[in-house]
Amino acid sequence: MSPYLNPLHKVLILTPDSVASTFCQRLITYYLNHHKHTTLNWHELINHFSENYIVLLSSLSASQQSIVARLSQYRLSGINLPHNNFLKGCDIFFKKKIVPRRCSFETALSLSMRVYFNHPLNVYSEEAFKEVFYTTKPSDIPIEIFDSQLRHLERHYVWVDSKFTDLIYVSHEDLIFDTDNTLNNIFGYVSDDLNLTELNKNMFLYYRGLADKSEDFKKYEEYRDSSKNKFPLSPFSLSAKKFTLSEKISKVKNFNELYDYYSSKTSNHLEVVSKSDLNKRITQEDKFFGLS
Amino acid sequence: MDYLNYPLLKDTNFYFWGSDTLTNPGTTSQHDKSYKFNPRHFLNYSYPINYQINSSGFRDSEWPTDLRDVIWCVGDSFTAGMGVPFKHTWPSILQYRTGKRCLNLGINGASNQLLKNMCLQILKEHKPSTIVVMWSFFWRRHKDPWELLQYTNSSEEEDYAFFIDCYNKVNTFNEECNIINLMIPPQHHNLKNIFQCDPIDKGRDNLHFDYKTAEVYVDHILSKLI
Repeated sequence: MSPYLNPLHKVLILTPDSVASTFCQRLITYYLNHHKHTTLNWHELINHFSENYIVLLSSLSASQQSIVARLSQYRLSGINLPHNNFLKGCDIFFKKKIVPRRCSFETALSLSMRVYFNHPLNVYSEEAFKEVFYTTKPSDIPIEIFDSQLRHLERHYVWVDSKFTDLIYVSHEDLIFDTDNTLNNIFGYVSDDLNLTELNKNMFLYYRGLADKSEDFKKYEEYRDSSKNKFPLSPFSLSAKKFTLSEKISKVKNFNELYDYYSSKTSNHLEVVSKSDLNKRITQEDKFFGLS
Repeated sequence: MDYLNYPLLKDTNFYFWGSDTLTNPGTTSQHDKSYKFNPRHFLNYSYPINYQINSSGFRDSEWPTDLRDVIWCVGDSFTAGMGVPFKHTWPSILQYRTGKRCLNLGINGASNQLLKNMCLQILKEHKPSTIVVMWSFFWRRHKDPWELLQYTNSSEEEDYAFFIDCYNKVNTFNEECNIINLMIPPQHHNLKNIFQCDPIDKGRDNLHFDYKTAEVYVDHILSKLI
């Protein structure tokens, strides 16, 4: 590493959506900025596509700040060009390729709920959260929707494995329940005055009207507002968790039918998920957020 | 002619710096056959590169008004730092390590004739204590003052003799000035008074050296500073 200049962080999140990837992306942006690495969230990499992929790679190379971006296989389908060289370029350019991983069944369940209930991909404010949380009435999710999300997930797994190297898999549990250590393990920066695990917990409770804003929350809001002024085109707001697993189960009336369907489709990519695994996760999650 | 004011750079900027991009990966010439742009290396490069030009037309911060106690760093794109961050250029590292203001007078594509003219003007007008000059490719010629002639039909012997003439004119002009002579890495020569080292790292464009090689040059300069 050069003693004269810090290298740029170049981080790419590879996501099928509904695996807390937006949260992860913005958290990393906050974390790196906090550690004095001016970092911009490019959000969806493909949104920066203009003429061709070379121009996009050139824009990335010209960046004077560290970059956190995301890429999804399904977003590439809108661009009628060969993708392989671009993906090779991304694989070389981005030094850290992070793949958030979560139980495939729960991911497919979340994706299906979003499609069926027409939820926004993410909510970034108390109002937006309430609108989604309190207006979602328990319903049956059609099997066809669930099945298409399973196929979507499988395609994502195959795409990530075949197109990228040196991947860093981050489990959803580690990201949520042990945020600070997870990021420290990836980037190596430790700070006594940043507690992202507690920040996430407090945001969760605050949006549900169960807690006041903590000091961590206020500090994050200061960062968010000052960053917005400096870099208005880069999104800095953290996304809020919409539903816990137990809340999802209460909103999906045919949960057992979906579970049985998933169990009949397990494969190399769709791992076996037992009901006791789900129950454990419900207990762990509710305990973490102080709901039990 | 004012060789220390390089207004043309502002116009030619896009051409020169533009060659360090993914979309326009450098120019090739009959003299630079060893150069091969490497997109993998380009994309893999970790440091932010920004070409900022001062009001005199050089890649440097603004120069102080009092130029009596500065080190003059003269050279071509290896001095200007094409393909590397400004902080990785050898004049910048020299400034960091000496604590003295080191002016970067690197000009992309500079010929030895142009470097000679710049050094002579510095010697005449500023009575410097130290000039460090990193000599360039022997084959390069300029149509005075700034127009680079990419292709000449001169022989290697003629090119070499032309360089020796430039070198002697600078080094014999004023014995009170400490002139430290360096040679860019790709230019082979047998001159004992001119320090050269093999590149141990490469900038983003895979041609110009980066800070590790620059540090070796700076080590040599420090050993020669009076």
